[in-house]
Amino acid sequence: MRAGVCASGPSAAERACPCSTTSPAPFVAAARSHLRCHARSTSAGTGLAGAGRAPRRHSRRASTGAALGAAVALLASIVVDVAPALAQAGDAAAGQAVYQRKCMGCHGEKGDGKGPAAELLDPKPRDFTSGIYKIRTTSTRMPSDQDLFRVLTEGMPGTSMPPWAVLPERDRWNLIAYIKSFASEKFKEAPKKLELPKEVGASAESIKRGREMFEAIECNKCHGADGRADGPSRPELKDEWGQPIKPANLTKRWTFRGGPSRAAIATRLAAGVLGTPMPAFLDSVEKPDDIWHLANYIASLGPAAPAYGTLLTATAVGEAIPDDPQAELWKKMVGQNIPLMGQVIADPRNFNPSIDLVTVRAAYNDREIAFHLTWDDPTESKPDGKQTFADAIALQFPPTLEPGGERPYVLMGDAAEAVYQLRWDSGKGVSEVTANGPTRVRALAGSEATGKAAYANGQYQVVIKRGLGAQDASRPTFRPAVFTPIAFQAWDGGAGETGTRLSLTSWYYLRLEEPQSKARFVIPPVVALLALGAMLVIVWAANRRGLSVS
Amino acid sequence: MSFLRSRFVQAALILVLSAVILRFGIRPPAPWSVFTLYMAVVFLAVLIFVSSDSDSWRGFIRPIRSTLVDPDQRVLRSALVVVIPLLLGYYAYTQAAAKPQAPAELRAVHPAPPDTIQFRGKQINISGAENPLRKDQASRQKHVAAGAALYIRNCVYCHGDNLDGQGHFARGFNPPPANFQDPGTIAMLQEAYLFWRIAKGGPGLPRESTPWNSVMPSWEDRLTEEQIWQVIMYLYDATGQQPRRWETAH
Repeated sequence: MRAGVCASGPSAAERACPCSTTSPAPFVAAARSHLRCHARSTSAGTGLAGAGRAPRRHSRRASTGAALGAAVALLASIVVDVAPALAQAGDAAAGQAVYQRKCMGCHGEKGDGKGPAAELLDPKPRDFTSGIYKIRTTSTRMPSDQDLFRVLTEGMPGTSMPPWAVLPERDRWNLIAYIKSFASEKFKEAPKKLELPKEVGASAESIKRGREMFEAIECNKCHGADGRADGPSRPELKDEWGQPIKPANLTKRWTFRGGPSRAAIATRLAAGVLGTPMPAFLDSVEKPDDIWHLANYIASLGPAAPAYGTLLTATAVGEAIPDDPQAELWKKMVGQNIPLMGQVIADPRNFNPSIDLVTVRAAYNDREIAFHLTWDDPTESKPDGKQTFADAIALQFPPTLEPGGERPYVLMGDAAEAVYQLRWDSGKGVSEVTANGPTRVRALAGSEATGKAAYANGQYQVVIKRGLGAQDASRPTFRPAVFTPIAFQAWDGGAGETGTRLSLTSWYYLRLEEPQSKARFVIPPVVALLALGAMLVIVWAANRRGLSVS
Repeated sequence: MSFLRSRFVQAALILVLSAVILRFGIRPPAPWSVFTLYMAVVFLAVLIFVSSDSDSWRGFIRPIRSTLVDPDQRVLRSALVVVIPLLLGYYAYTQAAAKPQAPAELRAVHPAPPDTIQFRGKQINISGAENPLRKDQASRQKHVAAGAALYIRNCVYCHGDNLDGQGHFARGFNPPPANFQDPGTIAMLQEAYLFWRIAKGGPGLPRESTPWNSVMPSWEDRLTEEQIWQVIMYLYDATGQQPRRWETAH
């Protein structure tokens, strides 16, 4: 619910509201009138007015009420700020000025998606003159103003379109008026709201039915059997403009262009994604409910947001560590997600990396340490050395720990300081290398590192193992309870990644956990017993005094 | 609402309300230390409030005393004697079982700049230098536009469309990309300082700024001297910030 003058239309009060102007008013004054404006716009606003008056009366009860009212008004103003906005008519001329400052670099001066950044970006910026929009909640071809406003405000995850919530609301409505003017003919037809079938909750049966429909309507042809964007049609997919386009990885909902919620997924399924090979399925499913079963199934494939790890822990185990990536030991451990980014330091750069996430599990015993790495790669590449390159992953460590916390340069070290890497390459297996920068990588002689890889349905799982102790000074020694710097690099050979065309992380820390101490089982009972004793003494003392008084 | 007249209930209500407002009503959230400090002040104020006269104090003490002494409160009393030690024991367990945190990384965010740098074999003064493009007011817009095009083709993936350090790769790197909208970055730095940072990048940082962590490239490999000054013009123009001036000697 959103009530009040601030959002309902361009009334006099609305135009005066400082939250929709760009004037650099002093922060405190702006914030104060912002609060006043929003307080006025809610029914709880009277509570705030009450708070202003009450202290003048000298009743204690009234001041308690005023404090309550102020608290409610404060909370209400927070709630109002995040409520969805009602559509407003924007001013295209005012929007043009904002467009030239904020949008032109990608979408181009003429709105044709040919700004100076366009050639770097993947997916490409929208060509507004085409009047084709991916995300819409309408059954007609054109999106509603709210659809455009939502995309502008929240951005498009997985693309270069950032959320523009930093722009004042008025500016965003003006921008929408201007953007529509690039294809004003097409926007003449009034959009009709898409009516979704009645919502079906996510249950085991619904997800099972969704999985059946997933195969029946051939979602797997593009999105792959497990939804990892590795379907057989993947190489042939083209968008409206003839550009190659990748299917969505359905296990990474946080990259969905229109948002990760079940309702958003159901809407994309029902209405399709215009300009892409993703069709509207409302009429191709057996029963309208199937849209929700499919949405429930897709939502069950992965989390809405990735929980990224910060500190990697290697678990102490008493047994031998299996090389088999499918072994029970690895299934029992919780993976730690690490985001990977494009390498843009050394030429050739990699602005649109293929691998954006690796899930790490690690274990050690008294002899060796093992890393279990899981990442999505839509193509299993068999290197031929010319066109197809190897898929690869590398774990990077400093060969020695410097006392001052110094370490080699994160991108494979430099001339002065080398890094040590444990690598796995498709077609070659596990190796140990030393590097003095990305162009000076040498294999270490006498490697004792071993490992095994498995590839299935668009996902690699690799185990890399090594002894705890170092054979020589080029290799690190792993010790329990020590924070060891670690970094990751990955290559998707199928996407043409090799050499410096890679994705990488910053330095993280790896810690081999100590065998669990018993302190956590001893301290809490002692604390509880002491507290019990103190409580009993208080009750006893109070009763003695209480009796003697009476 | 007669229970509201009890001093004890009033005191408890004030404490709970204050905790809720301090915890959830302040954006961005206040740090834990500030929260505990404020709550301690509120607690002292409540003690003064309930002990303002002896009637009030007796009203406040009555329910506590009754819980501790009255025969018909025996059930509540026994429950408290069991529950409070259990809660404290659980808290001790969460503290004892806490996972280790990665060690804090200290670095000088804006280290002292060198007097001069070598830029593609040419010596450039940093200390006291001004942006040479600013002298030519007539071409100002041309330089800003050129800087904008350079920015969006080279910098945007980390520093973001909105120059707020929220680019595509921002979340993956530590230290994170600089936020130029923040008054603590370019607004407190001279333009020549920016020239040094852009030209030499992460590898050119002194040791106290952990050069091994930064993924900022050395742009002297890719951009000309004039292009770097143009990007700097754009950074200040687009954020509305003013470059800091060099202090003149007295």
